[in-house]
Amino acid sequence: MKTIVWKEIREHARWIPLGVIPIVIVLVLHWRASFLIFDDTKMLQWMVGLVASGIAICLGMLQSWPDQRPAARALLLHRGITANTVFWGKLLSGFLLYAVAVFVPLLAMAAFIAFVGIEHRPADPAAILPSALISVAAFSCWLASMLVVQRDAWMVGSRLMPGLAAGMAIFLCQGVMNYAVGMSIAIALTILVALTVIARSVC
Amino acid sequence: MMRADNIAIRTSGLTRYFGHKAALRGLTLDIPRGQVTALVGHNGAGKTTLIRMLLGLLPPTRGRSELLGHDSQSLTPEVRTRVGYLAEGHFLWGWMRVRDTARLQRETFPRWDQPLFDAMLKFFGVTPDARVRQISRGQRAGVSLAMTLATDPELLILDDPSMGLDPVARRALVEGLLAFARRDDRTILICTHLLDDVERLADRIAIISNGQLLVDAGLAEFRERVGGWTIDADFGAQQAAQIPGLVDSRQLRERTHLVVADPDQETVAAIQRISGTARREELTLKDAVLAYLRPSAMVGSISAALENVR
Repeated sequence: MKTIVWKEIREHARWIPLGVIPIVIVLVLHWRASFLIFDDTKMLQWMVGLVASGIAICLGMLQSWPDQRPAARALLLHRGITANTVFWGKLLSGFLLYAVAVFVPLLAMAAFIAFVGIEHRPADPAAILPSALISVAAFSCWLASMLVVQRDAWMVGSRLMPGLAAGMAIFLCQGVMNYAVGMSIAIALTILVALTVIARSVC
Repeated sequence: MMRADNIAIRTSGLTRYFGHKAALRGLTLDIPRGQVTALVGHNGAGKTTLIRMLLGLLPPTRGRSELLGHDSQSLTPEVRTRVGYLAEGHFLWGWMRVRDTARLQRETFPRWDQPLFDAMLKFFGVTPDARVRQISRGQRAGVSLAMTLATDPELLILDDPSMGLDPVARRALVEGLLAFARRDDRTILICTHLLDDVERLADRIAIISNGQLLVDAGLAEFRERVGGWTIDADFGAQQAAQIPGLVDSRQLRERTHLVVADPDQETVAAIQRISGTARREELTLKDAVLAYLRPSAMVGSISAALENVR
């Protein structure tokens, strides 16, 4: 798996800045807009969820579309490792790249809020946590985009169906977040695991 | 009938449809170990589809295939490391350096032969630091070939390996493959359009057209079993129906060239009845193969058609 992770990270790490920039913009704009208080996190959750979903979709496409060409697929799969290993290698590298693009800016923002301190602004670094949880749910878009690329479905609607599941994961997670954090996490993880199992059987 | 342990590749009733179009229809073929088999056919005949199914990269619609005695659809990593595959177009990831491609192979093929890889790079004039996207097409072909041969495979499947190679590199490739085939009785399945290479390399030939296997024979046997005649008479569908085993008829000016499979006394008599001055002609391997590959719709010849236009 190490070889596949190495290949994927070397191949796609150059796109990371393109993921980091929109997340940073969302965080900075939110910081500037809510100058006095940083605890109204609903808007931030939605914005981070939206941008993180976009990053996950793009990353999923980048990691699966080029390797769908028959010759590329053959070069990737015809070697002394199982297709399972290739899949988990792609998933792990995809999550690592996604984490750098999404979680590093969120962590940096939390660190910045802690550094500035409540004397400057009545904000708590924990305000970033819901956005980070939504971002975990948004990774389901990575799995969905891989399924969209790899599934052999003729109808566009059928082909895009995994996207619906990923969208549902994010919306349910968002909707429940402010009332029951535990349930929100459970919903996100359930859909993530379900999509992973389906993706493994298809890809 | 060959013994099962003497067969490197076996297909039985292998069929693949893409939508309503059949790319391969009920292909049954045994490729013996220790021989070089050339797979010949025009573009779209189903050669690459066959290879992709053999390697388990594409599921068949019907039928099954085996590689080294293992079902193609469930090849284990251990079996895969015993099979070298060079894909059509010599695909390599363009962002990689040549040494990165070697690393990717080395870590997933336990019998990786680094000195062989280095020697082949040197031959094709490629440095390990070169980026794949910056080397020439011929050099890329060389790197692809080096990557495949350095895995030290028992069975080598090559999909149009000469594509993009200049004549010097092509000759080196053929010589390299011959040397490779002689080492420990390796098996090679080579899919090519270059019939000169087939003549120099192959022990056997399999001709595929429109997804169907037309010929599966030893090269010498194939040459012996295909005969050519030249006749000076008019030749149409009615005459064609009289000749048993007629593979192809081609008109060049006033003469018609006939290619017949398995000619016997009855065939010779039928040809003599059409034209008493019919002459037997020596067929090259190229003539014989092209006769099989000419689509049935191409009656006559292009030159005759052009003369008719004039």
